Amino acid sequence: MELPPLSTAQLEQLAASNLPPSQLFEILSRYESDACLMVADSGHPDASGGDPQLLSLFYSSFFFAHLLTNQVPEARALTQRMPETLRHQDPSLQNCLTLLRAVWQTQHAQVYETLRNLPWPEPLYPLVRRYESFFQDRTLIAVSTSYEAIRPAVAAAYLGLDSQAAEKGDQSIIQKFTDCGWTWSPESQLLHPVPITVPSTEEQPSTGIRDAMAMLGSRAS
Amino acid sequence: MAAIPALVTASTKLHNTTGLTDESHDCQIRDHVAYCRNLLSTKALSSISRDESVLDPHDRTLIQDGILSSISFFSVCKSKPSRKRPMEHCLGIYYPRGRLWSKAVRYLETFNPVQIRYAGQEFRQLIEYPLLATRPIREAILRLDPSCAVFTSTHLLFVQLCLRAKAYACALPVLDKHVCHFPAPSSRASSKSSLALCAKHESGLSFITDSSALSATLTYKDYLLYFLYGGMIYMALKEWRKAFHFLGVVISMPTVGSISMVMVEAYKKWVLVGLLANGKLSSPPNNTPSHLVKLYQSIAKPYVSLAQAFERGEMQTLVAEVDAARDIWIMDRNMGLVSQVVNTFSAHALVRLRKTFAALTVAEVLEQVPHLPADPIATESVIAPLIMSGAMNATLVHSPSHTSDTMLRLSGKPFFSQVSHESHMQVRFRKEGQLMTALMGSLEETNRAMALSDEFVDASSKGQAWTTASEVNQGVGDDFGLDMDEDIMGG
Amino acid sequence: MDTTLPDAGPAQASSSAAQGVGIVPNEATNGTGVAAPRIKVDEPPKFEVESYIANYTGRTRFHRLYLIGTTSTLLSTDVLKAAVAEAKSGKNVELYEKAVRALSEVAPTEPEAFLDSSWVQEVQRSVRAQTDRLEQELRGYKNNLIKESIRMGNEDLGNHYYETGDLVAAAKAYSRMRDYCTTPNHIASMLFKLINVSVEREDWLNVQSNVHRLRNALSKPEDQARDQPKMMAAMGLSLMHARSYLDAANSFLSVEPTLADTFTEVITPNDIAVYGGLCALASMDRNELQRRVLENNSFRNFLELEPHIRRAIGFFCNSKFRPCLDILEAYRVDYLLDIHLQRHVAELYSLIRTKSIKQYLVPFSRVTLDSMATIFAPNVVGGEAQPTGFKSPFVQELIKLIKAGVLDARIDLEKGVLVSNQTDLREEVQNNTLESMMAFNEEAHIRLLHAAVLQAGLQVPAAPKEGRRPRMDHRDGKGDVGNF
Repeated sequence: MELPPLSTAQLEQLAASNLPPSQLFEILSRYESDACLMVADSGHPDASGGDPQLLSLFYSSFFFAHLLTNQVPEARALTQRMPETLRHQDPSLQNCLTLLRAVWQTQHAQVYETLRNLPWPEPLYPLVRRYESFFQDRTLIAVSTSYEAIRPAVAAAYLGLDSQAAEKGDQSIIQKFTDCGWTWSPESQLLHPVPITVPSTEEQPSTGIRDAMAMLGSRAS
Repeated sequence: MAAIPALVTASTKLHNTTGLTDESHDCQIRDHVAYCRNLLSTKALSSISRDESVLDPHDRTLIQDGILSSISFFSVCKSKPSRKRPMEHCLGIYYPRGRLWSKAVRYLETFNPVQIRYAGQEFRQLIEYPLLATRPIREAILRLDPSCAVFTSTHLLFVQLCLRAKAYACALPVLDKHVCHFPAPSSRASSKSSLALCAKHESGLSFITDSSALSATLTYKDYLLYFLYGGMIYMALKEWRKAFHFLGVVISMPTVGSISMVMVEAYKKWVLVGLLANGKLSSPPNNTPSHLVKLYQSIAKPYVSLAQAFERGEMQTLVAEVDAARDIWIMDRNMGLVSQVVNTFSAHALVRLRKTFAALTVAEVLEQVPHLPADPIATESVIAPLIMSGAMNATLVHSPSHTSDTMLRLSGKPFFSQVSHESHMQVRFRKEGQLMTALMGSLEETNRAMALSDEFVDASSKGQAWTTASEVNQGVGDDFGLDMDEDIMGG
Repeated sequence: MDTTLPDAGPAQASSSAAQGVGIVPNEATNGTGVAAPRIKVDEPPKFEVESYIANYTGRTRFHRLYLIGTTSTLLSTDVLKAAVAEAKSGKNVELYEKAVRALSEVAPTEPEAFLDSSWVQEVQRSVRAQTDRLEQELRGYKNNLIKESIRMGNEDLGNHYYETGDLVAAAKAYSRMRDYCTTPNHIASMLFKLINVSVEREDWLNVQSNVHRLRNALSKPEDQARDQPKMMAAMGLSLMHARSYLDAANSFLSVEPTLADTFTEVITPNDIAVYGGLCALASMDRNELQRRVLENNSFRNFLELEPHIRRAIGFFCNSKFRPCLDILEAYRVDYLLDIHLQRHVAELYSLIRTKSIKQYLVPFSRVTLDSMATIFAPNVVGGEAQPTGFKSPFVQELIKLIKAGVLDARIDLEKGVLVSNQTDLREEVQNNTLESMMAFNEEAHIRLLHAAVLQAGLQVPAAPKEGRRPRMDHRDGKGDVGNF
């Protein structure tokens, strides 16, 4: 299956698409060689060749595709594969590095902070939002199986909610948790999580590109 | 200029294979290979390669038509890139810019895996040309032999490239399949089975042979390095168990007397990875001769004493060992691993708590596991990620009042999460089961090869000649300085 | 002993022995012993020293008195005086000087604390004269070539050396009798002499080997029957000192009651009962104790001499651990004043205690720490704010036991219970299966690769040493291949 050439439009379309993460990852990884060629075409590999904006968008998207498929060590490898100059100069890639550090060290507050408050380029927004909710969901599941009782402030901090409000017993926040089936005991001021189970997903084989492209095509048209 | 149309004509002849027996197809392909080789070795080739444009109108025929004439394609492009590109530019991620690049890539993703069996030499020249990047080579390896059970020089090249390009995950589809064989001396393959090369083969072993030239001549260093590099790739991805296995392969391989430096390097990493994977100094694979174990231990003494300090559970001794041999870790390029070992020390102590306690407060955890942050809240933030990542089977229970302590219950997960645990287990079972089936297949192959004892002896004496011939192949050693990226982000 | 809580746990128990008073480096008992920390006891024993020592004969009397005198702070003066007198009744100057030294440390003003140098000189002189005379006689016998005379000459010389305290020379003289023994009885008596010397030298390996030789030398059943009790007793003693408590118990248990007071230079029937009982209690399970100790007819004779041991074992078998441990505690002082038991009391007691805790847990899947503490740490329960808190000695003791793998249980400090490890069977089976699949796959892979490497002749070659010959066997035959 031929992919359309690597372009900003194509990337924007991918970012906005609702492709399953594994397919998104697969497509983007096929573009990596093209991106490399662009860099190389500029002559010497250190100077950022090609279109820095396009490359930045590509690498940022690809980075998020790693995170969405839970490949944190490989995401780190990616940051080392990208052209040095670009990595040092491009604000979006710098943000990626900050995010990577927070994810790596499981600093939940830091992750939300980075995702929400750093200036991400417009076309990347869908992926940033997508990762935020991905991260939130994963954390919610993890907290639900790791805690039998938890103070609302701590739970809120894990999910990037306002933990000060939660500490004061903010009903809307408590509500969010009780919506997941957790119970709230007002006398002890504790939330009692109910473990959330997800069927474990088998690793998707890297097929399905055809479907993905078809889906993209239908969206584009 | 006449060469191109001639090639096209020749290749179209091959398109129509339906109704042919394997034998006649076999002959046809062999003729074609001979024809192409002959054609292209003459001056025709030089005229082609000088004129790049010539290829463009024709490569559609050559490449995109349903059935491909592999040899033709390889023959055409094999001489192309060498003049243009120095090696280091082409390696790894520095993809070539030549126009043939994308065609070669497409080709590798689509070539006819049957016909390629006849053109091993050209095939290998193409993919082992450093111009190609990791991913296409991977596709090529898997296309050639989906079981991936026969080791070829391409395997080594591939992991080397992945390591150098820091494209670790890319190597997994190949690494995760277990290499179990080496290309057989061709005489045995042909005497054993009368199957034509293009027939349906059960295993790659019967067509990837010595004479197929699908692999360069191999030496012991090739497979040792393959498993060492593979282990390093797993290490970079923090797949400690698999890394441990790969390094275990290296240190347990049969030797005649002495050991290779590759094995010593692997042993050092094996000790450290063993600590990360199992939290203890493990015993080497069963069939490692005990004198080798002693030899390793004496050569890699600092590593062994580091592991012993880790096992004894004394942080001070551990830190002292790390400081004492700092130069050695740096020289061996294992500093990153060593610092990860130090970092997991507390985690292992925490996981071990389960053996003694069913429940205790975080403050009591502090008493049992020294070297945690002194205040219980900070300690909780060390414990929570361990639980959430699944490394520790436990739950935390906050207490109503803020002042009193959080309880750590180690009595297993509540019932609800069992369901996801079950399905998770099922996936892992299935995976191991598949692996086992693959291994059983390989075992059958090995049995078949060994069963005919005369031939085994025959093959073994062939093997001698083979290794003696391999003296030349020393080049691999130059790459030994390869290093996975191992400095870590702290945490 | 009043400084430690009698029941504070094995950790304390083991240290309590040395804890009473500071550790004083011990002068070697007979020059060959190892320097062990000297144990001090402040409480009175249950026995009376005079009647106790009357049970023994030979030099063990002196050694026992000396040990009691230097161990018990309460009895030291009187007992050491007795030790001085005991030494003075013999011919061993060294022991006399040792006893006087010890006495002068605790009671410098006593008249016995001053060295009677005229006695010393007199004894030394007469010993020298006798040594000369005996050696002279032996030479005479040797010239006459009369076997029996030579044997007896050596024996006399050995006895003389033994009495004067030259144990090495004594052992040599006795050994020289070997060639001149003409009957099995000669050999037996010689070996017993050697055993006695070895016991006094605390050379337990030698005791064992001499017992074995003795067993081989005795061919007649009646001889065997006669010497069996002494042999088994000596064997038990040496095994106990080797810390093989189960083997020691088996030896002591097989001592026939005919031992009576035939071996009082080493051991009395009361000792057999105590040593055998404690070793059994420390090493055997409940069924064995019941069957092999309590229902053992011949050993019952011994146990009747020390009924408290019988009761302790009985309590243990009936899972009444508190009374059992209480009895042992009550006799701790006595045993610390026993020349052979002293250095094993701590270890034996902690083994028994640990076994009791284990046994106690058997029927329960979970036990509250409180109920355990009332049995195993009663003194602590009364005294401490949190008798079963994380920091209490009892909980710390349990933690140690679990970590050492002795107890298969886990502590739940939240609910204050000890939970025996019942694993979720399904989960465990799953985990084990997965683990063994993975291990199998890994090993199978390695073995397949091995076969492949050998088949392809791709082994790691020998180092390219100077002109190493290519080996000719086909398996690894190859020339010098450049090594790494």
